Amino acid sequence: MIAIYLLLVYIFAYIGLFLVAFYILTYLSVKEPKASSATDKSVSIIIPAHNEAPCIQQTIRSALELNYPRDKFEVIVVDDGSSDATYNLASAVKSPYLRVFRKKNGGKGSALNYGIARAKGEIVVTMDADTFVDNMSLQRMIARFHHEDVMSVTSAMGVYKPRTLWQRIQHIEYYLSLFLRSVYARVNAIFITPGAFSAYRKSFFERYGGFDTSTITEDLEVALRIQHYNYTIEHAPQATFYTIAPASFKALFIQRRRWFTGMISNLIRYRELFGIKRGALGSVILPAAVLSILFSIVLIAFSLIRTAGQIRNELLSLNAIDFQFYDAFEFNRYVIGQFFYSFFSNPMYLFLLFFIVLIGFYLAYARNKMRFKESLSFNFVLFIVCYSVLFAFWWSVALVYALFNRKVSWGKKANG
Amino acid sequence: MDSRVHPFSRYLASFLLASAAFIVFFAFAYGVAYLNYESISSHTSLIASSVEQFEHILVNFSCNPAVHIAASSRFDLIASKISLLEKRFGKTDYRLASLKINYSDLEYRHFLITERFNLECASDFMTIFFFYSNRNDALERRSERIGFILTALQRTHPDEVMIYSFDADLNSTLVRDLKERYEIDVVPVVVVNGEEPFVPRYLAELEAYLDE
Repeated sequence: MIAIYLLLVYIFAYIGLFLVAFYILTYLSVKEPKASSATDKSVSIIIPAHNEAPCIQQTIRSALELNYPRDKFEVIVVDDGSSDATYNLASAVKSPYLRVFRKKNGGKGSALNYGIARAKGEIVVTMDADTFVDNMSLQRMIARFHHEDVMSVTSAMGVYKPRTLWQRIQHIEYYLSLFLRSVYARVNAIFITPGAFSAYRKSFFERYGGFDTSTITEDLEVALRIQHYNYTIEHAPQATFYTIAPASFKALFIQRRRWFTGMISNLIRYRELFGIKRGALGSVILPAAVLSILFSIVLIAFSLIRTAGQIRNELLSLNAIDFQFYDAFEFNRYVIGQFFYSFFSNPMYLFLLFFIVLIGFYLAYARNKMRFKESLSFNFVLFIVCYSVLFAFWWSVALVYALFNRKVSWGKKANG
Repeated sequence: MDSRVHPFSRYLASFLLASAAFIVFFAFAYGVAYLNYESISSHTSLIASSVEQFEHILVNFSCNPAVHIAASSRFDLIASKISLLEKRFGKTDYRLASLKINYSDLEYRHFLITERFNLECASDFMTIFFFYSNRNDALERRSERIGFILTALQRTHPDEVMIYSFDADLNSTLVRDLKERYEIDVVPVVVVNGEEPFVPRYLAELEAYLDE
């Protein structure tokens, strides 16, 4: 059992090393294409909203403050059958560049399509109703539409004022994705365009249809569809926005269950994207994503079972001495020295240390691009301790849902 | 932009870099492990010299308590190193077998010194032989639990209890002789002051047994 566990760890570590090498070489050797004009295209910001009364006005103001020529700019709010004051609050914001619509509830995809049908812009930008943007972000995104093949541009996402444990973990997770997205863009392998703030050419929707209303992850579906038709998805790492992340375990669980179940169904739907004909996307990035999910689930399950066995044995042993610890936890230089000897003589721990340092590097990259100033130390520790277990748990649930064909809904309120 | 072109040279470079890094990690880890093993197993000579020292104590025996204290502290030091090697390399590691045979000889000599102190110097040390086994997981778990109880006992009675642990599966004449002498059929088991073999399940149970 232990031998199988170690074998899996080392295979996983090797794949991880290969990917890291590939990412770094790609980042260093492939230059970003030259940016085009940042303001030459007309833009429609579309904000779908369903029961977003607490933050809708702030989001609209954030959108209206975007630095962009006013003659090429509009904001469209689509109230998707809210039962709260969302529509009234949105309508109360006065601006010549704002249009507010109300429709019967049909889901986020349907609200976006409603907005796209009424948009005047050459570029449509989807923006979640609980999202706040840096006022230069739009120009930075538009500048990445440097070629007519570029159908979408993603931006750099952060968590707005993370407070709870779950938000702090997501805080790090979002920043980590920035480097990967920059690398993926260099080999045209971005396969998710976050619905919270991404830009698309309107012509793509006119030619290939709008957002798919039958899927629960329309942003993933549209990204895969863009890849399916051999277009390009670009990334603007300095176009920053902040979103309100799920604050509780339950809200986060509902969101991830939706994301991951949607990802499974969409990856099956666009399975032809896997394979050698699809360049780095099909032969490295997508297979690596799937493998990392499967390995994570197996390794975390193994680790938890092993740890549970060890805890059980420790408890039985402690019970044998009536839970009297005496000086069992006495530390001295010798013990500490031997701990370091043991740590550095185990390849498994060395790999772990390497990947933790790598996460630090990804965060430094995000800090450099997004120019945030807050300290991440505490959130970083939380992330290291909790994320892998949460990741494996969410994916296990999503796989069970997919396997038994169980229906997943948006839930009461789930961001993203 | 032709995004479907494979960056084959980058794949190859990544493969080579990953392989090199993988080898470096293993080489580093095993380098550290080897250094650790060398630093600890260099104490083979310490075991040998201690056996000689204990032999000398037995030949020129005196009731000076400092002699027993010095012998015990050296014995404890070696015991901790053996325990560490077991943790680091696994209890059934072949490199440990010869060290453990020598260590068993040392244990027995320390036991003889303790026994002489009890007989000739009116000392009242309690001696416990612990026969353990790592032959399979179940035996290892049971052995570890009794070892845990004995460690706790020694912590509470540091100057009264002398514990001697023997790997019952060791290819050692001494261990075979001891098992025969105390009629050890099943392991793990303890022998307190040469009495009948006993399997303690709890510390309290062992303490009650010692009080009888």
